[in-house]
Amino acid sequence: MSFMQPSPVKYACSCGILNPINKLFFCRHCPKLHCGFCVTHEIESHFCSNCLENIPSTEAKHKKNCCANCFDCPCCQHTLSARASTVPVVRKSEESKDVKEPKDGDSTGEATPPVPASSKPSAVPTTKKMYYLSCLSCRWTTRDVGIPDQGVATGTWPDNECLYQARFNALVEYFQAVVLQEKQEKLEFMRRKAPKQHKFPSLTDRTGLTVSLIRRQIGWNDKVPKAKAVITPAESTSEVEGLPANIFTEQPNLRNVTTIAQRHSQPADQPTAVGSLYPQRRSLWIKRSLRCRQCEHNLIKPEYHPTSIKYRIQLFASYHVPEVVMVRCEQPLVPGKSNAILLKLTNPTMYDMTIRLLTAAPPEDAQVSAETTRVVKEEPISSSPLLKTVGITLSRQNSTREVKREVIDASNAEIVPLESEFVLSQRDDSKEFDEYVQLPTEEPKFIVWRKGNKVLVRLQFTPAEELAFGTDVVLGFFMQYTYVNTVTNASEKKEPTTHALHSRVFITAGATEQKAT
Amino acid sequence: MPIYESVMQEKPPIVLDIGTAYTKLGFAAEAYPRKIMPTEVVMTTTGIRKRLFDYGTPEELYDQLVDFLQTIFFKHLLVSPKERKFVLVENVFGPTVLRETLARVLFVHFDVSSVMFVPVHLIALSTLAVPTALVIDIGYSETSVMPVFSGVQIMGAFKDQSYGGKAVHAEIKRQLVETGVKESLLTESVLEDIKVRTCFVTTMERAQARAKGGEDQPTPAPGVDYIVSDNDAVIQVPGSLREAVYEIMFEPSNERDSLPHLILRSILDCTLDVRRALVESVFLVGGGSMVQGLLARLRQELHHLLAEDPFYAERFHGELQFKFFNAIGKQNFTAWLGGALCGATDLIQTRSLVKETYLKSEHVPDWSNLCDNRPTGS
Amino acid sequence: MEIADTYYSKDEYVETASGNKVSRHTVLCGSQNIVLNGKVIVQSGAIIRGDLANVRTGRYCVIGKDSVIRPPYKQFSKGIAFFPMHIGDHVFVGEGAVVSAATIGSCVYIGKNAIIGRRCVLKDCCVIEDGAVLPPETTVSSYMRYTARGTIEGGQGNPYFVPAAMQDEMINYTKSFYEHFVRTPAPAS
Repeated sequence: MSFMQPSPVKYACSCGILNPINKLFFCRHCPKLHCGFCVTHEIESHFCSNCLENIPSTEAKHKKNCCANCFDCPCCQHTLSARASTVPVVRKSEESKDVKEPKDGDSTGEATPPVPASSKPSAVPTTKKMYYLSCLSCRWTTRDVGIPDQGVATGTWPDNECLYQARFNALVEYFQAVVLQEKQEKLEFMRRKAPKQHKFPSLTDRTGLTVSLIRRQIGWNDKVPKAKAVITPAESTSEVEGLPANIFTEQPNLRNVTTIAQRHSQPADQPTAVGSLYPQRRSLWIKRSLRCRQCEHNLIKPEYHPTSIKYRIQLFASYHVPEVVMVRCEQPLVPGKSNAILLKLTNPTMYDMTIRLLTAAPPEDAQVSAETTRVVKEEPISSSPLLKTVGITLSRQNSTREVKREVIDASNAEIVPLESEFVLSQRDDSKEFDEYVQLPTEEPKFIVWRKGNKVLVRLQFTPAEELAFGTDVVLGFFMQYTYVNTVTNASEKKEPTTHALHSRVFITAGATEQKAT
Repeated sequence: MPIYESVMQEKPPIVLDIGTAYTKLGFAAEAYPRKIMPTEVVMTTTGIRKRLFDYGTPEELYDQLVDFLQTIFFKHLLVSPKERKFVLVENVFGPTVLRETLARVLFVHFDVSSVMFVPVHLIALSTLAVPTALVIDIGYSETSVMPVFSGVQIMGAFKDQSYGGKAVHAEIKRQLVETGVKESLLTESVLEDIKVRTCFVTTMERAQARAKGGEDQPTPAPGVDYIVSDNDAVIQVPGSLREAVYEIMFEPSNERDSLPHLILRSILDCTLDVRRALVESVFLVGGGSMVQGLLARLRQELHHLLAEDPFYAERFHGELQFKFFNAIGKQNFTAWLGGALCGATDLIQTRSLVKETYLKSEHVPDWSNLCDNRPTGS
Repeated sequence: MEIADTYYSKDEYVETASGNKVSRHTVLCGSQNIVLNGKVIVQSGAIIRGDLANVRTGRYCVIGKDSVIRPPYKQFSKGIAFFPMHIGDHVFVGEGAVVSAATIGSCVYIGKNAIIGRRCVLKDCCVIEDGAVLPPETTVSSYMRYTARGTIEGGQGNPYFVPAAMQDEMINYTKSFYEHFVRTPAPAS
């Protein structure tokens, strides 16, 4: 097993996608497998991957999801680190600061410590540390773009500002005002078309004298003088920027022209010259929690703290579903020739499990299906009509139904189903240290060996005749296992219930070899 | 409903502009997109990276969109899409399947609260606060020209052609292969890099001199050595290539479909009263329009055509001066900026497609679909 | 795939009291500074530079063939100083990897031919892909995968790049690797 290669054993998730067991989760309430596709992802916490600092979500929103202290190199997008250079502060009548400049001006600013500056012999030699940011993988430093060194390592690095921010704000206000005006006018229009019928006779009914009539007579136009939203529209000009004069004569230095990736890392100004690239703040990362779509229970909930690797809720499939690992095929795979595969099954739960390997789907467990339908039939809480008009419903929005897809049965080998079912004993960590004792019980013939909660099973199969050379042989079968549900579902049952669940498993056994002629 | 200033919602709407090559994403009422990223997706099932819009079946497109949007929400924007409003900037003449699948992904899979589709050309104008202009969007797969008058798109005069970034890349590749460069070196990202950093649009005089092919051609611009970063191979980019690749947009042909022709024909397809206003307001948006020298060359070509080509000389009368707008910000996210402006106003409440409405019919109202445009009784 | 038995010849590997299996073909400089906490496998060709600074490994680690474990250094105005290196439990270092990190957490998988720059910090449960090159002083936080292209992907709760049950997987992997690392059975006489 390696992290770089895909696993040959895949389970079919409840949404139909095939996944290896380490990408699957098991929901205990609707006892089904779920994968990353058919769960809802939610954001749990924000943190910076460099300084590993947890940042509350309101602050993250305020800071535009960027870390306050860490910066990215604009050239290669790796992290910048602060380097110190000592600078003598000469305290005398004329206060002068000597700053040691690096000798080379182009982008090879070394991170070597400079030689300590020699101070005037009669002054009090106080040294101050001046910091600059430098990238360790491409040797870019803030001195290359002219940002002055800062006295503190963090917190005072300047942010490049957006040049047209003022104009943009003016545009936003203008459009908001325009849209509101339109809405007001429309409402006025509707109001004038259908005047409200009052219940009680009003004073002005008999005389026909209304406030608006009087106002109009006096000369006042409307209740409130509306401020007309104005903005200076942009002006088109026939003066266009031409090509620079030296473009036909000067050879461009590609080291000074930015690439597209560098430009896109600064979306506001997208500079074309390398000398205008500013260090960007590093963006944050998130921890996410996964939630089952049908029963709204959490499948995974990680710990809040960035450095902790634990989970508050961890319903991995490998904790509840027996794990099937392929050991090896007994003989080289030849189409049409009968073969056997060795599979190792592990029971991860605290209860004994009875397992059966079948080639056709077993009948759905009546108990399980009854429970799931009961959960789904929950009536939404009725909301008041007033809220409904506004568009808010108080019921739990369960409309994130996903389209289930059919499991693609790509198996191209015939399997001889096992004669009987077998029992996998529970997981018991203390047994690890016991000596291996062969129990003198009757074992079915297909079990090769058994140790604790693991069993090695021999499964006969025959790859299909018509397979071409080099195609992958895929075995598919249904694995039915008993699952003891320890979840207490609110009211009735106190003792755990046993279900017979099944999963569809596909194993890629390897490529076919040449038929022996 | 009470009329007060629309409360700046705590959760600003998300504005997305999913282009063929690059996607611009960010929040409404912000002056620039948070990120401009390539429209590529790493398939979670196989791990290979491919373009989002390379798909075989609509189901594949659905899966790819889910993966793509999930990366956007959880890696770049860092917000949960649940119960959020969206503004999507889209091409009005784009394939309907994209629109429908995108809406389905957002509503069914991600459970968003409402989606507002805005057309590119119209919304780009809002960044100028001008109601009339001829908007030209030069993108990756195509260039499209749409006149807008008083805030209304004149759809009948829409013109588009399939030369954009992709065609320029193909041209660079063709010319480089002719000079003997190995084709395997010329990947898409290398071609794009060469285009962005070395190429420009030359002046009309030089282009005509080159096309004539006579003796006294002006000396070409100096060539440049381009170093491919991965394997240190050096590609000699000749100066003539630097000047000549963008000529595909200006090539004279009998069908009159090069860029200046598209502009003029589009103006001619409008009614007489709007033509002068359009001539004096030309607006270029899109990433492809950021190349050096494009505006100057376009102006030269347009004036030249008006003077020389009899087809246009008969139809355009009077002293006409072509005037161009300068975008605020950069042209490759001007359309996004328009979407951000739109999302900051109250239009997002009144004009978007709400989830309940969508789920009743699972269909996005489309301008080209007669079922949505028939006047109903209500 | 289940791990197949890897055989080693009896003369090649030394088995210590605490269960460490160290090959004789390794270069262990300064072995008094190297602490292998138990059930650690150091395969042939590996180089551990304990002479520069202390190297401490956790339990059930696997140091692959031809890999280099070298403590990181920091430059001062007065010279260079080497820092001690801490490797956590259940770490798998792939073949040919060059590791100069300052700290490696537990349950980390380092791929083949990876180059970890100096003073990098690898937190628990992260994955470094085969052939990845980490620039100096990068921090890879938990459940992140550092790709060969140089980007960081993943995060806790993200089921795609690093398996969510990474800790258990690495524990099982290193334990079963250790169990299957057996001596070549003596030929039947």
